[in-house]
Amino acid sequence: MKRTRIGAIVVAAGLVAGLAACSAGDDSGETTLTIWDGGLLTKKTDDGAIADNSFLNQVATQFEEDNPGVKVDIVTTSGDIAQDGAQFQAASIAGNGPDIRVGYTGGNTVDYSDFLLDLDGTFSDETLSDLTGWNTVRKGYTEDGALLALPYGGGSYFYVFYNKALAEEAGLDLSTPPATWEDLVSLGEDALGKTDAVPFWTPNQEGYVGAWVMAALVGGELGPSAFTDMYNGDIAVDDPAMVKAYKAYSELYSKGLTNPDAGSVGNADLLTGFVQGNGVFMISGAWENGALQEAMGEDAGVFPIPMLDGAQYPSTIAGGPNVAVSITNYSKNQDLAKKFLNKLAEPATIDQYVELFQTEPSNSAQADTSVITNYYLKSEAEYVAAAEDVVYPFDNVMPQSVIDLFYKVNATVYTGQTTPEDAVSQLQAAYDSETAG
Amino acid sequence: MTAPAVASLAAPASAGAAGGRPPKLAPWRRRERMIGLAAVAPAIVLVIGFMIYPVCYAVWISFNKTNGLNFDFIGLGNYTKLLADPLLHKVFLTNIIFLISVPLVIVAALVCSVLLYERIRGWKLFRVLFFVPNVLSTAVIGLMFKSLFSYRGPVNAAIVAAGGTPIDFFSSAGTSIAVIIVALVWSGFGYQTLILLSGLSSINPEIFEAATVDGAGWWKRLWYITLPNIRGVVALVSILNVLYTFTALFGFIFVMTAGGPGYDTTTLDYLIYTLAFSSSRLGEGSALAVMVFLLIGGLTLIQLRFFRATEDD
Repeated sequence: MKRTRIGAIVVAAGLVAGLAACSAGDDSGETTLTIWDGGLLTKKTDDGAIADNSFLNQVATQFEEDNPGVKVDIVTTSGDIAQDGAQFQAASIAGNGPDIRVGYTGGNTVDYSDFLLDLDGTFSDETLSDLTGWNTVRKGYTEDGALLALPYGGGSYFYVFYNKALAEEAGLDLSTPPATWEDLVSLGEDALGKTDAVPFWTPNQEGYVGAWVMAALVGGELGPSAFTDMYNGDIAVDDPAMVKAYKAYSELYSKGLTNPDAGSVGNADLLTGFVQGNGVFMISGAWENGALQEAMGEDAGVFPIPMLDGAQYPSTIAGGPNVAVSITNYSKNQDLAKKFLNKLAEPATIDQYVELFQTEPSNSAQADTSVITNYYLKSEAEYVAAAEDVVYPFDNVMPQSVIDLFYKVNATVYTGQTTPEDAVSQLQAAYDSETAG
Repeated sequence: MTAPAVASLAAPASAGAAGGRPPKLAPWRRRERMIGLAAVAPAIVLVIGFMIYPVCYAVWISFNKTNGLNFDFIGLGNYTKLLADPLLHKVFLTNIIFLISVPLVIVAALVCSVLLYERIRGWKLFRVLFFVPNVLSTAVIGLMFKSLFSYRGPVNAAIVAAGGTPIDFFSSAGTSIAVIIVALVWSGFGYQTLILLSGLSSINPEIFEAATVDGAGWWKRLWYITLPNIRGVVALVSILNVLYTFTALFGFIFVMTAGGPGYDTTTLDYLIYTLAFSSSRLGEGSALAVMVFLLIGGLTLIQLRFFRATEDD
């Protein structure tokens, strides 16, 4: 019996020791600052690893040098907005999420406010006045709302890119961008059948292309505060402008101007397909700039998504601050994380980001514009400067559940499986349900 | 050696029934009981910690409006809201459609198991080949079928080569579901084949020999000997597949269609995930999980009763 007892004690001790070994203890004396990024501040290599020249990695290395004993661990998440959000929420509930989360501005940050630290007091007055975009990461999008993140970069806007060689082959004159959406559709009709490519290459399985087009077209109809007004209930989600925009956008598919598999090809194939010459036009955003220049040099052109004919706000551009860097309220290294965010907020660091990514300008008033070398970003900067209004998109503002549905219906409206009227009524119901209690 | 043990077991039973004080257990019996309890303790801890506690917690969450941090008790509010939601009705119907895979898997597994049992030429190779899909992860199988049936994939290439028009399988509900069902059957039939094969192996071969001597052909042997003798195993396979259809499609859906187009291929388990994590409606997600738990529990009981009834017949 004694032997049995001793055996049992040994087994129990082994179990306890084993479980203890699984705990997250760190005996090295090093403090680890964990950052989750879905590819907004890091770049991946072809094999999925983070590239050594990634912006965030460079800043992390500098930070580690400045702060001995600190290790910055960068974890790449999926990059899919919904998946990233789900992953972050699940980890936050469990309390084992990151110290710093790199997400999107708007709903993607505001919706997770329960897990994020209020950053009021984190940045100096000088930094607050130097950078723009703070309201896109404040709770309720108001000046007095809790500051949930550091807005990073001057913003990404939505554009129509075109393949110059294919456009020429199709006989299109794009020396002046089309003035209206109808003109753009007309150009697509002219290009139909003239080349091996479809007029509009549209991988729209996730509904992202629809989100960009809707932002522009509805913004042109309702003005720069269209979606923040919807968020606050001042404009109905099922406003006739939404139906009108959906009808115009779905014409691309119904008129046979896009790839027939638009509903089943994912966004990951958007740029690849365009570079391969699958389409004359591609609707996307400034985040494509770097890869596009790398793949096509200056063989593509760019112009903003044009508004509908007769739009009340014809000189509107859709987009806005895109990247938000937050600190979790359960982080054990909040002071260190704040220090890291302040490092990120330095104008020179933002210039470094602009220089490496070439997707958006700096949001600092002290920005060095000479770091912009990308052919497309230069053109885009001119369009942004010329635009009279900027509309912050639907999927940057609305509650996450409404955004999820928005993406779904964008895909099905496009392929004609959902009517525009049904789509907006579903969105209105989802918004009502979300805001009811 | 056994006589004293019988006596000691019988005595407490009668004493207890008479309402008297139960006699003390012999020291060696107490030691034995302690050792037994100590042996199962780790398993009990694991079951309580990883099964009973999470289930109870999920039930508690389902009575709250919560995002995982803030809890607001709303009683059956989540349940009533979900039951009135047309999306849930649609998703439930989609899951019912996926049940088509159950008879398909069973038939495929049955055919293969009988062929393996009869040791057709190359049966050893086939036994391995049939099991191969089981060593692949759901994500890999999903990606494989997504590539196969994509607009520019090999299936469409074959259709075009045969003079047809390519089909965008994943842009409509019917074809998407059909492809997922094919993937489900392909990934599941190997394992079910082995289960059925184990059932077949338990049949006395003399019965087959006697039937053959009596002039029973292959079909008659299958119908009158094989199937009746493995009814219990078929019941098990059927129950497993129904459970699988309601609880384990997530991987396929996530990889192949993300529940789309729209919500056309969204299943109950995928909707639980969407509600709980993507939309921060953890309470509703938990309520749906509880409902699915009750549903599959009920379905399992119905199936067991059905198979028992047919066994009695």
